[in-house]
Amino acid sequence: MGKFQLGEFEEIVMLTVGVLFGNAYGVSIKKEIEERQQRKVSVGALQSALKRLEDKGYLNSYEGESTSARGGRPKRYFNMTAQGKHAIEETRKMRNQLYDAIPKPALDVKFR
Amino acid sequence: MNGFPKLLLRFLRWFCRPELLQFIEGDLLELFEEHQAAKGLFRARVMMIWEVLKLFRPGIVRSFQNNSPGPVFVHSMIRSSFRRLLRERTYAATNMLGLVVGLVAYLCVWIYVNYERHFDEFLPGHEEVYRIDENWNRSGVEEKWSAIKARVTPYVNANFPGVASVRLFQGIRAELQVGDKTIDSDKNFYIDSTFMEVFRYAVVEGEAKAMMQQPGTVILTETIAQKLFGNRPALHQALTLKGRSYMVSGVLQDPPANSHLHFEVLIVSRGLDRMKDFQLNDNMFYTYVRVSEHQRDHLLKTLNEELSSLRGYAQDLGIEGNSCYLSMLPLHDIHLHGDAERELEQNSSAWVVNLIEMIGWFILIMSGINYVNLSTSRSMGRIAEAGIRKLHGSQHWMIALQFLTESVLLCLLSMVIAVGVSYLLLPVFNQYFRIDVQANWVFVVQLVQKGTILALVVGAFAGIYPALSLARVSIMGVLRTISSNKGAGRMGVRRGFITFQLMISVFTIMATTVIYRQLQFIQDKNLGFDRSRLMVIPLNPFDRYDAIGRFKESLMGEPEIANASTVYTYPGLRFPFFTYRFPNLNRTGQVNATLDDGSVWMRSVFGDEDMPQTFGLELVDGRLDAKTSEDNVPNEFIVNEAAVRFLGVENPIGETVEFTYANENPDRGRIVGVVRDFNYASLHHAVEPMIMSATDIGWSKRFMLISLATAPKEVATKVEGLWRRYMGNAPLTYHFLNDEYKELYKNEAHLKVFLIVLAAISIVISILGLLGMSFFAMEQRKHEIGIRKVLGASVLSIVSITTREYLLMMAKALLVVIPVTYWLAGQWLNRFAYAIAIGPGIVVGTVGFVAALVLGSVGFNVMRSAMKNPVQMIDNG
Repeated sequence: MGKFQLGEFEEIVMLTVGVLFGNAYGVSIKKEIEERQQRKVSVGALQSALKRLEDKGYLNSYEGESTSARGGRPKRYFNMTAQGKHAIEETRKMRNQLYDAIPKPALDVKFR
Repeated sequence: MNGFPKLLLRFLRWFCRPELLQFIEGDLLELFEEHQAAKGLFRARVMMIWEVLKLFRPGIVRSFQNNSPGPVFVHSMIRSSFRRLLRERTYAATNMLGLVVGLVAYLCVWIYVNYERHFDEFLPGHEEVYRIDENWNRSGVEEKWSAIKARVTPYVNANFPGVASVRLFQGIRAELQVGDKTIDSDKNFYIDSTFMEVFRYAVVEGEAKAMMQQPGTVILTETIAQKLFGNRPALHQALTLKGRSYMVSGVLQDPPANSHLHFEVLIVSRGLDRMKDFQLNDNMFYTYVRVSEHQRDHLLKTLNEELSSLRGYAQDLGIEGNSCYLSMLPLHDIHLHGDAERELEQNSSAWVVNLIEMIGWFILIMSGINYVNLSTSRSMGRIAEAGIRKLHGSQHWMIALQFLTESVLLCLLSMVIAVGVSYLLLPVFNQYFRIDVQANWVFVVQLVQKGTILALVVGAFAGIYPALSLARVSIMGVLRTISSNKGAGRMGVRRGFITFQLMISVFTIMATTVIYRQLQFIQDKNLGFDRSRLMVIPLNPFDRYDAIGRFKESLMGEPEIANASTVYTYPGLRFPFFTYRFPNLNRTGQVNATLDDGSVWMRSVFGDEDMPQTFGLELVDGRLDAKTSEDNVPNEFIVNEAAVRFLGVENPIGETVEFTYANENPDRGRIVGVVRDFNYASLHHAVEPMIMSATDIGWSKRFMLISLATAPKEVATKVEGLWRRYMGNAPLTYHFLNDEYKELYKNEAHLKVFLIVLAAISIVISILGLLGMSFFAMEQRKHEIGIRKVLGASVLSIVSITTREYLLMMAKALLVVIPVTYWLAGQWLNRFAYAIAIGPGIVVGTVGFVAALVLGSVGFNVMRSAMKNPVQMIDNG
């Protein structure tokens, strides 16, 4: 996994961008994550994650339309790059491999 | 956009990366609108504040480097300052050296002053602790006592809830025994059980409350406990003190060096109030109170109102002409302001410490002036730089700031070095001045803090003149004549600096001479007895009365020993007061009875028959060999000249004296001799009336005083041998009176050291300033001098022309400063009972010295240019 460093939150952002395919910009990503994950996401956390991911080359972005609700500011849409796609696949594979490597009895633990 | 906090938006715009800004703003606004619709304006706003704050994180905050002109400017300024310092290494080094020396000297002064001014502040809550002093006026004779009568403490403790008072009664020198271990302590005190309420010493063993519960126990300091018990716990162990057995109820941390009270053993005693009446009425009880600020004045007022109803005071105050009031001295002021009778330790005096502090400031000011001088002369060479900077668009303030930065930077660098040096010097410093400043982090932080402030202030002051004058340079002027811009006005300013510098030098040289000579005078003054050959051995009078007698006899038998005597006190310790009655003199002369039995208090000394010879006193009248009576009580007395004046008698010999102190049936005797006044206390005080009596009584044998016939070293081993033979394994300590006198004038000795440093620095800095200035002036006038020589001027005439202005500056400095210094020094000398006169010698000496200084440093440069070949001088301009 060495080559594809993805933090937990970064991974979620990546996946959400994928889910929102074509409609992924700041507010929509934030809402999507909040809805699906039942967690609060601050604009700061999200924006800095998006910036990191773009710097790593997993996402690219383009300037979209502006609406009056946004005070005339444009939206910034995100797309996954090929490398980004590769990264989440790798991450998923890693995780599955790890899961499969757990011996059965360990999962049978009964909690008292 | 409506309702979105404007300030928040501005904040965001300030810190956010520009490429992200519009998107983030968009997102925020969108969210804001939604929240506002769903939850109202207020909640939405709070939300936004929160969100923006969370946006302040790496990745979103822009880089602040290279972004605005400000930081670049600062950066370049610092960088070019460093480059300049590196390029002009020699200049920077000399300049820094001057500063470092000045700063180190100042910091050392500060360390010393700071130490002296913070005595007893290690005790928690020291602000609320006071010592109660007694101020008597007995028929016009004023006395101030640090130890007072016994009845104040019980009165305070009974009548003032919330106020704690404690008495300390210093026991006589005693031996402490545990098993076969014996140590000697003359710092043992009997205390009330309120001790720990007043003095919150750190407890090492035991518990603060519990150690006060049982009378008949002792509290030790860590060091003493260590000496007696080694590493075993001392708590609940038994020890013998003065032949009685005690249990150790606690161990306290040693009082640090900066304390006025260095006890070793504390004896918790309810017996203080069971003492005899005459003891309770004597001034023997160091009395301290812990009282909150708002109760303080009330307490003091009530005490003074009730004073005459307190036992012990009532009798004395009943006599006409006697008055007394109590005063409270804050604990932390005792070291600098305590100068009453029976002070526990040799205190410092505030004026010496203040003077030393002033010296520190002088040194600092002088090194600052030196720095200004050097950097001003240096800045002449930088006019071109300033011009070019202006040409490139520098503003006034930028150039000024540039030069200020350099100056402050240099100062900061010097400061770093100075702080380092002071830190390293600290152990030496501690040892030399016998102080104990801990090099802990508090100290370092203080030092660095002090240093940084100083560096900034000195740097700013020193840099401000060159900075402003260079900033005013006109571009056209500079470009036209880059090399020949002389700035004639600048000479005037430098002349001013040098004159000021000379003034300070004149002042320091003259003041130092006066102070130094006065201090020397005090230390070397003929005291009326020979202290250089006196050796003191403390004794335990009650233990070995007979052995002491045999020891003394054996001492007298040695050829190296001129005389030996057992005494109650000796010169150097202030003589204690006792009461005497002169039945035939009552109410004659100055003597008015100040006690109800018709007695007066007089400073007294008791010793055996050999005491006057051992002291080496000079006889004026009568005889020196006062004899002890058959029953060993005082009956033949010797007085000093001051006492004769005090008594107001024509012929004192044969006058009847009664020793009334604690005596139902006074010991009656007569005066047999009069001795020349001798200084038995510090020379700050005039010699007071004194009476001495011969007695062999046990309590008078507190010290063995030995006057030596040869050098002290050889005798010491001999004395030790005799001590062992006659006194067995009793602990022996001894010292020489000379050393004790050094202790008495310790403060003054320190002052002398600082004075010498001050004088040296001031002279060196004056020389540097004069050298620099004359060099510069000669450079400027070299054409003139060359032409003069060509036209036939002699070397002598050139020298006289060029030195004239310096002599003028010197004359100004001398004329202004000498009268002022003369007056100030006179004021200062007034505080001494014995002072030198500021004769013409000191004034002439100062003038001569300063003249030599000026001519010497200017002459070198002048002669050099006057002797040069004129062709060279005119040619290479």
